Amino acid sequence: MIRKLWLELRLLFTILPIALILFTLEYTWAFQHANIMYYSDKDGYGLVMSPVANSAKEIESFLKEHPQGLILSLQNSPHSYFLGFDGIARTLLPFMVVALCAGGILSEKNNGTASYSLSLPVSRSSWIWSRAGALLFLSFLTALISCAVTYALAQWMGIAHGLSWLVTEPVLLTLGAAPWIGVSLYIQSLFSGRFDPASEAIIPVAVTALLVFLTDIFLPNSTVNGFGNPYLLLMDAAESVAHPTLWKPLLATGIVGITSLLLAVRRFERMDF
Amino acid sequence: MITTSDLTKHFGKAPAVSGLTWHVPEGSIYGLLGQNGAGKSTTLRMLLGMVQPTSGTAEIAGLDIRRDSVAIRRMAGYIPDQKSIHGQLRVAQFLRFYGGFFADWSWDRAVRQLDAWQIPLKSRMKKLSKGMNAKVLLAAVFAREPRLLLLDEPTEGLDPESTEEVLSLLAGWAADGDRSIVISSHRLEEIERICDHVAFLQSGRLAISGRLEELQSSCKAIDVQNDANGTIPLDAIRQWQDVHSTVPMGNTLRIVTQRTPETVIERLRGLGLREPVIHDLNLREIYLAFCPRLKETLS
Repeated sequence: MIRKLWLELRLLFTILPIALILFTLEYTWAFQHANIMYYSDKDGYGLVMSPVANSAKEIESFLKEHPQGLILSLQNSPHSYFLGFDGIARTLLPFMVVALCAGGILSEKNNGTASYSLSLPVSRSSWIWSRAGALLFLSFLTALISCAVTYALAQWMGIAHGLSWLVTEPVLLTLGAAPWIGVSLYIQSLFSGRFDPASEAIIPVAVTALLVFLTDIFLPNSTVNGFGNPYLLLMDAAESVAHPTLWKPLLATGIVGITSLLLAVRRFERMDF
Repeated sequence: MITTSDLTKHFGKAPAVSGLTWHVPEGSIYGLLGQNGAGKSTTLRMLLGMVQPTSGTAEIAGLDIRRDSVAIRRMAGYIPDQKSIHGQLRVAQFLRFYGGFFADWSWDRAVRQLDAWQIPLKSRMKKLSKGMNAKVLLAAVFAREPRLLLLDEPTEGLDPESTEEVLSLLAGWAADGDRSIVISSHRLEEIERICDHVAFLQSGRLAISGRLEELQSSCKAIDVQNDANGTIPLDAIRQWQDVHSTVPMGNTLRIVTQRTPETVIERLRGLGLREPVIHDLNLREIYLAFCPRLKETLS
């Protein structure tokens, strides 16, 4: 299953970590050329970024408004490099997972491949569980490769960071994105056999991506706001790093991921190919 | 090898297969014939668990198709009607993927077969012609030891030379031990050449089935000339026992009988009609007689 998945997805799998790294580099460049002003007081909390060139005036007015506020930059807060990566990765990885989930046996119904695959001696539930497992593995690998390259770049730029980050970050990122594997497969099972092959490959991906987007918007700890506004993204990431909550992604994976996978298996077992 | 009892499949309200009670003896090469939409592919897919039956039961080598589906697929080989599959894989990658599911699968045997067909292992499946794709699927199946092959239009897209090779391969494979093959096909001449049993499906129902030789010896056409007054009592003849169908052909009426043509001839003589002539029927003629919808389309 892993072999087949790898052959199907190797191009996408190569592109995804590169995309994550490029986004991180873009943010890094922005941080190096700007001051980041962080406040948390009676007015709430927030981040403001301004270009270094004309920042003196802005810093002055910022501190007037938020006397307790902090002025950060890559130089005096090197961790912002990793915060930036974390924010981007947590926002983008679910979309990437949805892209990785495209295709597969549920979307192959119309092209004949699915019926051939189902003639092989494997139970239907095994197809879904092994695909979900393989996708989880590829998602983890995407996160791990991205983190490793990000870490190596940080070392090269002289930004020190604990090596344990290379272990915790990919795990947390994967756990945060993992529920979308189940949701993607369930949505594929809902649309399976309803459209022509081309539409059947695209529509479930589009619908699931929209769902990721809407979830980000309507959940209280929205990170998609940061997708449009990098400062909020950073703030969200900062909050996450300051108070790592492993139970949240675990719970999300447990409830959303497993439930949707069970529903997908249930639907898949009743389907005709 | 295969026994079905009242096997039925409805897609929504539309019946695809209705009350199919059918038996495929072990060691037979069984041709499953019928027009498009007759239920041939659905029947094969039900046997392998790809389509869930609405009602009825079926067993393959004593294994229930619902309960023991995985075990059935382990002992059976299948070629789907759509041959262009796993297009993104190279031939070698496809073979490894397929072979990984079977303990008795032999890489060497598959490669030898593909070498004989001059199909390069490095080619992508989607770059191969339909016929070459079919050959790759067959090579993959023949590299193991299935007891049963279920083939949906196996020679579709093959050139005459390749068709010949595949048919010889199938016949040779089946002759070697207690192996059975069910071939769904439109190509009557191929079925007639290699199959020892045939079944005709029409609108999801089994129209006729049995040993090919027995069908050919029991199904007869009786041609009777109409007299000048055109007094053949067509409606009455259609009601006779053993008259399967009647086909007016100009001034001649062709009566297709099953089992006892002598009785029908006796009764025709009794009507004072001119001397009826008995013909043997080939598979094509039997097929046309038992699949009237196709016959109407052709006429």
